[in-house]
Amino acid sequence: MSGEPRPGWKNLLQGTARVLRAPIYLLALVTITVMAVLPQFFGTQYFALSLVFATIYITLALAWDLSSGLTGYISFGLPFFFGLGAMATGYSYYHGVGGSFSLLAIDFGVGLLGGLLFALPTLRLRGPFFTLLSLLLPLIAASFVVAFWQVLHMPTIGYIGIPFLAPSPQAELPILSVTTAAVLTVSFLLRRSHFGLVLRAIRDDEDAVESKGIRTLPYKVAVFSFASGIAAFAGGTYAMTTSFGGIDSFDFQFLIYPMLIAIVGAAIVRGGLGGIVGSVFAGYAIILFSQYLTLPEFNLQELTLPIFAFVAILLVLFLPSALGRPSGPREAS
Amino acid sequence: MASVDSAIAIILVYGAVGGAIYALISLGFTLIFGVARLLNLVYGALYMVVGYTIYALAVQDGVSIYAAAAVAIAIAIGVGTVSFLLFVRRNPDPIRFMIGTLLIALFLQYYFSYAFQGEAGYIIPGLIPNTSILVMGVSISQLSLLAAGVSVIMVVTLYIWVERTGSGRVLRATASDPETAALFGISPGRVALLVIVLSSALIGLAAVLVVPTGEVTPTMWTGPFIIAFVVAIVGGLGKFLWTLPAAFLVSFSQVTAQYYIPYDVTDLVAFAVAIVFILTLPRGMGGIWEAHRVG
Amino acid sequence: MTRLVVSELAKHFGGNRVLDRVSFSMRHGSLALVGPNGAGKTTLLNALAGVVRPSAGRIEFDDLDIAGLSTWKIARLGIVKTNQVVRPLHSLTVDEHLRVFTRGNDPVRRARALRATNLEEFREQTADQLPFGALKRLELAEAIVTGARLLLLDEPIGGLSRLEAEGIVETLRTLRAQGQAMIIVEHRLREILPFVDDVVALDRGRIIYDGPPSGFYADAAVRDAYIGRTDAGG
Repeated sequence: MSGEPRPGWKNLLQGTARVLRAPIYLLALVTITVMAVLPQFFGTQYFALSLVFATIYITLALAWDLSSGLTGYISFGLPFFFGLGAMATGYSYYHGVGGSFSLLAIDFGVGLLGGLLFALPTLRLRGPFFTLLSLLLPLIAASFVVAFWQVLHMPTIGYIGIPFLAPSPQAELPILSVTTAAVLTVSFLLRRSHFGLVLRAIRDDEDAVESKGIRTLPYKVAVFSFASGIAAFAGGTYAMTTSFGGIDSFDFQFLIYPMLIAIVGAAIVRGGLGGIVGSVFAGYAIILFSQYLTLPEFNLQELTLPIFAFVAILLVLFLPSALGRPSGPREAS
Repeated sequence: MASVDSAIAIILVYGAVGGAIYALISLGFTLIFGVARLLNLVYGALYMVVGYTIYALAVQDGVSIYAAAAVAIAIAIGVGTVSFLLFVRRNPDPIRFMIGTLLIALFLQYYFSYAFQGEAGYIIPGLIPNTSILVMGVSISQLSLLAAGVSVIMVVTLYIWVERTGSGRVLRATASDPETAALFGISPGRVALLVIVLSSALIGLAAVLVVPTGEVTPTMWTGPFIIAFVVAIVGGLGKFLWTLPAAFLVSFSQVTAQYYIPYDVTDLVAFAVAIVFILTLPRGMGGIWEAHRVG
Repeated sequence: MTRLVVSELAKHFGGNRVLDRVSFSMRHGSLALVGPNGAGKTTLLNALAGVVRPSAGRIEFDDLDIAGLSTWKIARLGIVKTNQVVRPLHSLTVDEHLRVFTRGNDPVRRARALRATNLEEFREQTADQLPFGALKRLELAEAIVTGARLLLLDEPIGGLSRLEAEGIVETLRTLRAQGQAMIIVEHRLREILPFVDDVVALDRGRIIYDGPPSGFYADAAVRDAYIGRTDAGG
């Protein structure tokens, strides 16, 4: 930015430390830690696996809340970038890339690039274009895989046999807890930074922001690309948890759950969407409950998704505060 | 490989019939946006509702196809209207509306997947037998021809209604300026209600005519949704008089590409067309026309 | 010293000429843009700020033609406009508003703007809790912290009580004394004219007066525009 005086590392570090002393953030970190440690001593393999899924969905929810919740540019493209990450993992693995961390780094890069390519043209436009086109992404991706699975060297409509991130869910959970905590920390810092402030300002009145000399496009594109990279990273971890990356990775459950988590999380921290931290608490609760419902003794496996979609509808209907956009007077012409 | 002549015949016949069908599928979506400025994402799901209702009634319970189709369209109107009212009456925020209606579509997808045992595709009967005839030497299903014919009739009827009748003028007035229309005693809410009923009926009718040429599956809602959205973009969001030319443009692009590419690329072509229009002509074909008229 | 030269600026909406080849320049640091309703003042201000795209003409700011540039570019070059209808970012606090826009993120600049607009007591309140008068001052404060060299103020005291208006006028006077250049569109001539250097009056898209405030009320064309043609029929 023009003429910005260099803040100096010391100031920056002090500022960061101040932000990270926020009690709600610390509570979220403690929650993640407890959830990472708990299944090492208690519960079944299934409990540990459920917690692994919870960290993946929380990561997705954080990414969605950071980009869509904070800016008001709602994206339905989350399953696309998630699936892109899962597919990139499979593709890279089938083409000789070894090592979980290089695979995940590739996923992040692919998601970042994909997000950039999508956001650059579409975020120039105001109005509903961005949201609608983002919804087309996962739809198109699925038919792309169906059409080109042979071209992509898939053994079926997806890559099978992707190596596991860790030998057991118990061993995998601490790794994903650390990455989830890292995503939380970065998102939380971004939200509290000048960058995050501009994003919130964009949500309130983008024209007013531009009229005072701030070009909004780079902010929107940057946050969306970053969030897409995170979503693809999450998709990679999912592929390494289930050993599969393909057409199912574009399923809309990877939108419904994260949106549900972000909306409930927003209600928990009472700040509307874009509150970031709430997703951690809501994520464990929702995913554990959903995994609990899929246990064989309830015979609800097939009904879990409809139930949660229905709950999400009710929340959108009856929880006006959670979706943000405080009902202040708006006199913009 | 077919000769050039037959290539042209295939592209012409499939493109034209497909275009007419696309217009029928898209009409209701554009209509709602034009009048209520809301993007109704339940729209595609209504198509699926009709498919499953006809399957349940006509195939599973043996009800006559005409009765089943009538009930299915009625249910589509009901679902469409209720979901619209739920979100519009309570909070007219467009973001909430989009999220809410998408969630309803996904709920229906997962619900049907559960209630009708997974992803298996079902075949439903059409209003007339699904046999093929030759047009310009190209084999095409009679059902598709019927759908195309009905579509043209619907488009023309709707056009005459909007342009020539009093109630149509009310619709146009509300579309161009709801606040002023309200000052003249027109209730935008009531017009929106009329439009949602009409558009739900249109997509229901499209489903009755088109679904028998394909399969009933839990993800079938995405097809008409993609088409409706892309046609709306190409014609210009809300400019429903441009639905027919836009539908033809999309259909011919797809058929032409499909003829030369040995993979199923129809969705990708539709997406590419939408992107090109958004980048170069975000106000669509109708937008160019208006620019000339005003300037 | 900022240089602004507007030449032959025109704007049509459909067949309607809202600005009809308007030319003027800023000779001193402050200028009031006045005229009856529908004269084209706000359109002119919007064209200067890039909110509307002029149909023809040039706007030279420091010898650079800025006509038709986007708002953020013009704002970066140093011309920032306030809105007639206040447009606060309703979920942000006053302090956050200013942090978004402060040039160089300079806390001193921010504190000065808060003080100058008398908003210190509202610092931590969100915009949707502010009274109208404070919102008007916030609009001004946002423009100030951008470090703009030329402020375009669209009815800065419109809708305010006499007392509130006096506060803003006092702020503007102080800014003026510090060398801040500004163009003010305002109906309330009595409050604004006393402290500006020049007055440009518009009527139906044309300039009918361009000179010092002292000659304004006596000018025949101005009287015609405001009071009606007194020589009608005679």
